[in-house]
Amino acid sequence: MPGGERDVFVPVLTVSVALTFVVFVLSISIGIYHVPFFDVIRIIASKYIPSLNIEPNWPIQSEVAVNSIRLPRAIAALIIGGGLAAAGAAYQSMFKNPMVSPDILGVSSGASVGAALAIFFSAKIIWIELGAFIGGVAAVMITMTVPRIIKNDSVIILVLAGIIVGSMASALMSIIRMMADPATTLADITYWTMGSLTRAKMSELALIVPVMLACLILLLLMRYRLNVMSLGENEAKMLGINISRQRTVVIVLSTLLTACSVSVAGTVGWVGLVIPHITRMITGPDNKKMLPVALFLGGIFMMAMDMLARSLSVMEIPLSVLTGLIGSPIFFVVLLKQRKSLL
Amino acid sequence: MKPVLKANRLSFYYQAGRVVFQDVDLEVNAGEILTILGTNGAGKSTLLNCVAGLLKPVRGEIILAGRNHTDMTFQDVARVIGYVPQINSPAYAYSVLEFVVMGRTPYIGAFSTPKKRDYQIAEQALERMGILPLASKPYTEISGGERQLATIARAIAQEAQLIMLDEPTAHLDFGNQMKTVKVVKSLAGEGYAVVMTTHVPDHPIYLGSRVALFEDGLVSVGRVEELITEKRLSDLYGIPLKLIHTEEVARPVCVAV
Repeated sequence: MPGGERDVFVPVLTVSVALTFVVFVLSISIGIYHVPFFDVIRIIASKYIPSLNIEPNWPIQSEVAVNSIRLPRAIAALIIGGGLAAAGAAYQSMFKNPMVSPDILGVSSGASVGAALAIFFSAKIIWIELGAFIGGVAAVMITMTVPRIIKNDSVIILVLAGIIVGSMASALMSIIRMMADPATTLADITYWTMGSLTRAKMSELALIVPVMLACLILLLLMRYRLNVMSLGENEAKMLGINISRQRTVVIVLSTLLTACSVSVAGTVGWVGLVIPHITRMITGPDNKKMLPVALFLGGIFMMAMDMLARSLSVMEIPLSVLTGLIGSPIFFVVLLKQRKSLL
Repeated sequence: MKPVLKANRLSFYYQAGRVVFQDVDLEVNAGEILTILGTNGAGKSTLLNCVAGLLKPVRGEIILAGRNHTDMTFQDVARVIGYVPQINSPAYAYSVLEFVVMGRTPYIGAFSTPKKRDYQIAEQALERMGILPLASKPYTEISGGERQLATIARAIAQEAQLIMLDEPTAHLDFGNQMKTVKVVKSLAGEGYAVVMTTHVPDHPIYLGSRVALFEDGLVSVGRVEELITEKRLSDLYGIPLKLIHTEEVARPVCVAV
């Protein structure tokens, strides 16, 4: 079949899926309280497939740790890692620029402002999630309106609009922090901006996961269109693509993914930038192969980060600290390896 | 037969008021070549962009294969025009085959991917351009001349009736320039309508094509013998030019005095 890379693709995808499963179980198994690897599988299977009639010969603590704490976290890490990687890959193709990430449109900052505002008013968790979502959508709406007002459809103007919205959002964030009660809400907001999966509960995931899955499936279906869009606006048009409509669809999907991630885990940087790059080094730039693999690698990366966050010290380490400490040197190595192909 | 491209009284100017071109009438039929000559900034690319639908003409109409441009979607246009743009700086190192198969986009649904048949058509187009051995090479790592051929192959895979090339010989060495012009001639021989812009008066002479001469917002369209004269060329480029008939190649060549 076409291209030498297809030969690599099937084994790579298979290994990614298998590795995702192993890391998923491991991330539930490892922690302050250790649950044996196969107990994890049996506990989950006995709960969700009761017809198997598995003999419950494990300690009750294991069952509590797995079902009410670690399973939701692992699911959240998996879908958020995959979602951020997919959103990053989509933005990178759309902007014909491998150096952009979900933050470029101000989505993450906008979502954080929405969430922080909800925390400021001590709202319930559902409002925090809604706030993050509204903030993210509002940010991307403003970013997309700016080029329309100045009647310039180019990618550069869109990116500049993202910078405008991003710095506006960080100013708003500072105001919220200044006004927040140092005894209660300030700590919550600060913790939020550093990123964590402690809030991940099954009841909230039930709202978020179906939305994220739908976005991921749609982006996957559009993976070939992402290739064409990455040739640039004019070439994509000349190849018959209605670029403004396609771009709107891709932006809405990627933004939903980012906002959902922020609403569960706060701000987690680097995943959307680093994972597509690493994946491209394995599969090549073709989104038909790159995007599916990036989903799983993103999930693996995020589950591993959460595992470290929980087990490196007694106090949980914020996710953005880990993704920053680990992601930035990885990105430097990626840049070093790719310096030839960078324009 | 309907002309592949017909433009009636096409005009374009920017808001500031500078007229780029005015009342241009064009007609290009299958198997015909139209060469556009003009100084830098004369509006050659602007005209191509209007025909391609990337810019909206201020006045006039464009008829593509019998259909009014304003009634056509990008997908409709892409089934008629294969565009070979001037500068090609891809951000990602797609393989040459993957790049050429993107010419199949107007025939592939939004949620679909190219199928085996699309890859076959792309391979045939590469074969036609003589660069099939490059199929699995990264597009970023082949030479400028090879990229030009790959982009023409993409237009062929697009099954376009009109191939539009924006200064296809720019940035190419002398040998590749002539190869490209020969490819253009053979494309017309196969029945494609071809529109190309160039800075070299020898190209339309060699191609025996129709010519559109861009001079300060005025566009004259005609045959080589009518428009490619010493006086017109000297006026156009602002330097004295001679057309010297060369026996060995049986055509005039353009030289500066």
